Amino acid sequence: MRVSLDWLKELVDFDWSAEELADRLTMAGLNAWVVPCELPSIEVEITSNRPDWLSVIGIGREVSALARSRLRLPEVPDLELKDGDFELEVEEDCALRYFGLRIDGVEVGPSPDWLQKRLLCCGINPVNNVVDITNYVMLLFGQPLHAFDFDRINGGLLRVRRARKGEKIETIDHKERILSPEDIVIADAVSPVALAGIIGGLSSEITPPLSGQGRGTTRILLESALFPRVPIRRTRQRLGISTEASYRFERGVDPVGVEKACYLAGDMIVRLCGGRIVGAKVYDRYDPSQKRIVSLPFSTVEELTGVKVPVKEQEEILSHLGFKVKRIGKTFDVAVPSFRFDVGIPEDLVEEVLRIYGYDKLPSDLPCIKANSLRGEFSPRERTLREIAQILQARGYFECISFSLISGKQAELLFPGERLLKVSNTISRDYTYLRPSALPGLLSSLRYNASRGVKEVKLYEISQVLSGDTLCKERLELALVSMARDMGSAYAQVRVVLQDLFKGKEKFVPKKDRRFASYAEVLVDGERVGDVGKVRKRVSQEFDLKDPVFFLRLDLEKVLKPLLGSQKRYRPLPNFPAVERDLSMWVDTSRISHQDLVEEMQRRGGEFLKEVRLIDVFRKEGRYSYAYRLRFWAEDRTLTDEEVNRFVGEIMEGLKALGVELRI
Amino acid sequence: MDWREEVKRLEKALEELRSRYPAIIPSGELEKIRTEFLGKKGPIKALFDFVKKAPAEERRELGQFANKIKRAFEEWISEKRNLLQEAEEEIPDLSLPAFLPDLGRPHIITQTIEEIVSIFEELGFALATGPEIEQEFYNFSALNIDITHPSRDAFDTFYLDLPADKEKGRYLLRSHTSPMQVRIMEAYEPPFAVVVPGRVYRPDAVDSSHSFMFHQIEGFAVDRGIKFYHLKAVLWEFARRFFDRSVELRFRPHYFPFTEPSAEVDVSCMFCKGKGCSVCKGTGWIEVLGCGMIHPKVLANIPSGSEGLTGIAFGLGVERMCMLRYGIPDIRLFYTGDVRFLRQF
Ligand SMILES: [Zn+2]
Repeated sequence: MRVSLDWLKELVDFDWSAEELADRLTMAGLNAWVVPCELPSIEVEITSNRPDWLSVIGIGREVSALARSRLRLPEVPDLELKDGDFELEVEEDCALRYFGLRIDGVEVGPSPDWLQKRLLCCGINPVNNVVDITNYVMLLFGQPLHAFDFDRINGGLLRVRRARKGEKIETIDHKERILSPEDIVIADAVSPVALAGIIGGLSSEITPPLSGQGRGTTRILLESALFPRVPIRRTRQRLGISTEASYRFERGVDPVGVEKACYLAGDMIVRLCGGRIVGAKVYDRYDPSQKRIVSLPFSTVEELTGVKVPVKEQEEILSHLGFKVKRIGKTFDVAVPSFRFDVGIPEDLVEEVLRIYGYDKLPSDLPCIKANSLRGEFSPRERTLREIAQILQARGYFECISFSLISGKQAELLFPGERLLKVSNTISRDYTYLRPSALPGLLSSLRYNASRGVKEVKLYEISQVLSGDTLCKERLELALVSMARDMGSAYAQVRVVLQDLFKGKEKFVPKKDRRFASYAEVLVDGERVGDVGKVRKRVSQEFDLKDPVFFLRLDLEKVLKPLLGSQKRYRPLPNFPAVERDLSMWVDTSRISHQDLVEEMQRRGGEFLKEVRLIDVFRKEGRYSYAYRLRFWAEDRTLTDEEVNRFVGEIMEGLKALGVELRI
Repeated sequence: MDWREEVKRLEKALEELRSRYPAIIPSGELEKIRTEFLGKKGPIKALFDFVKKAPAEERRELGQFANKIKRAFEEWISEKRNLLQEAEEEIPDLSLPAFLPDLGRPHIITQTIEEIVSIFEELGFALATGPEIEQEFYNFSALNIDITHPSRDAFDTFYLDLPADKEKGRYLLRSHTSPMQVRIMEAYEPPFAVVVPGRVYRPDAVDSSHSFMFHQIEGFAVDRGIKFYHLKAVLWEFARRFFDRSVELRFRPHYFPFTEPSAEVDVSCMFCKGKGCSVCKGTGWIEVLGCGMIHPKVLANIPSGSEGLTGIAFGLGVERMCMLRYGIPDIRLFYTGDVRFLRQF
């Protein structure tokens, strides 16, 4: 909303420059700045709760409160209205008030200079005297008006109603609009002549004489009405037309202004365009007796904000803003004016007082937060998360934040057959489904890096992902990927993270999978906590990746608990020297794995076997050799060779039974 | 043998060695030189052999010369050996970089969140996190955002393809972190002071300053006697610790459905110190967050009643803070996973 200072000065006395005025309004919550214009003018940005600021009077009222100076409202003649000699029908819920004023004998032409200038300063182009007056009055009161060429209204009938399905109207911007039953229209006996509260129809447009379309408009029907907010917004959005009128109706228009704007515009048309008022038709469901009263104890402002505003000043501010204030004891009884839809509780009035008094007068005092029932609730969990992140960072992993929404193609590729959750109003096909894992995001990031020449990359992401169990639930996931030139080192970078986190407690259950090779579920303490694998070429080439990519996914909800600091336990260190034995063996990796061997050794090694550590792996003629160092110790003595030999014998027995060939 | 000639020859040979090897000699070469001169078949051994056979009257003088030349060689060799030993303790070029894997880093957004959260923790707030899949009740209704409010439109909120819940309405991706105010009020007994970081979603097309997914931090405190001016102190303290000790704060009235009174908060521009520059668009102020007193209708979500309780709340955009602080020009940089970007922080 733009306005020139001279127009404001007609309504209220102040002696600020445009810059000063803009600054003061901004600090009162009405973001304003100076605009270059013939007359000194400002532009203001309104908040959605204050549609009354979409008028010169509304801004003037604000200035009057800031300057503590009286607001001079324009004089509106009280017209005596006879019957307008036309029909008006209003369907239920299509308008709260509708004033139709018929004026005959109008001469359409350019409007006077002063009027054109004012409109231009407000950013509205002059059209002709009738239209300009409707715009002028709209700017003044915030009440949108519309003028019809009465001779183009079929059957002398105006019907405010819902549009019929498929009904059409050509609007004054020369576009044909196809309507639906959620739209409200003004129709004549035949078809719609205007989209209520949004834009007029071309057929009943006000035209000057000699416009090439026969004689110009001489009889007009001036509409001042109050349409409901929501349908106007819906129609405006669906049809993609935003006008000064729709902007105001969507946010709310002062019901009392409907009448005043109608009278003022009617009077101005008679004065500036000639003609005479024939009469009017009125539909009115507005009940002015329903007043909102809010009581505000004198002390509330200070209690709520910590600022002491003198009682007299509180009263003055509220009165200047248009509230009717009565003192009852130590309380104000405040009647809320019809144009303030946003005020209903004392807190609203506190803000009104304080923002005019000045937010800059707020003192500053730190609260003393003693009790806090949330303290420590989330912190153990957060600390463990941070510890996990630190381990990953130490291993050279960079944290990624990728979009939580993925494309249908990615969903099909990585989560075939899974029930995914879709966003109904997606902005792009690339972002349609909620992801059950961050893996697609990480693969996309690998592609981004690879295409820029970075080929050895390790990335992780900790994010809330869709939980498989119930569709509308989430779980916290850690996903990581490692890409390297050879498979072995790509996997080692992933494997080491499991060692870091679970210290050998991790177990692998190999699985066949169409998307992943070398794929296994990861178990800790018998519970499935995630999975690990290599992205198959078929999948990785969809992400333009040539080098091998391994991934690990952990369900953090399951992992966090065993990793919490409170779950860690001290195990005694040896007081007596440990006895070490090395065992090397040929292993048929297609039948048996490291974890099977370790399990067997631990099972047979007795209570003194405290550590089984892999010390060497090599490959010869297609066979693998694993070498282990076994450490035995007791807490109370040095173990004898015979004791240890007995256990080692046991272990060797077991390994042989598994089909392992021991190398001596 | 003319021993005088021989001594002279050896002295000359040592001089030559000195000038040929001014600095360090590789240990193999030094050993070769030692054997050559001081070894069993070397000239010095020969000289001493000669001394033994020399006539008694010459032996004394001859012995002195032989010892002198032998000591000179020995000293030179041990000097070179010392040099060698010392050199073994030296890394030849300290400025050569190591060929070891780089450390990874947390994302700059995570770092920023952790820093902001820890500032508020120092001020007595506690951390909490909550779901990204929300319902209309928590995202809107319970926050006093009425059914006609534009933010409920499909233009401003992502709705999920799920049947709506009878009580709590449609499922959606939270458009702000404020729903956690309601969830905390339902689950915990006041007083509390909480900060909630997390991802939020709005159907904006992605460009250099917009993203349909970004991060917010919500903060709120509910207790008896909490006032608007406490908010100013908390936020000022935050801004001073996060941006700069000298930063100033400006409260401007604003409108949010879930706070009353409400304010937008500007900090004095840290780039031009308030003189006006391109970052602050010449105003000297930069808008950083929104805040206010929690609306009584929001406090009404406390099951045990909100009588006598007041609250403050604020919300800030993490990406915006990050872009301001580090001079990051394009919001999309945060989400590509470009290690060249991630490595910088
Ligand atoms: Zn600046």
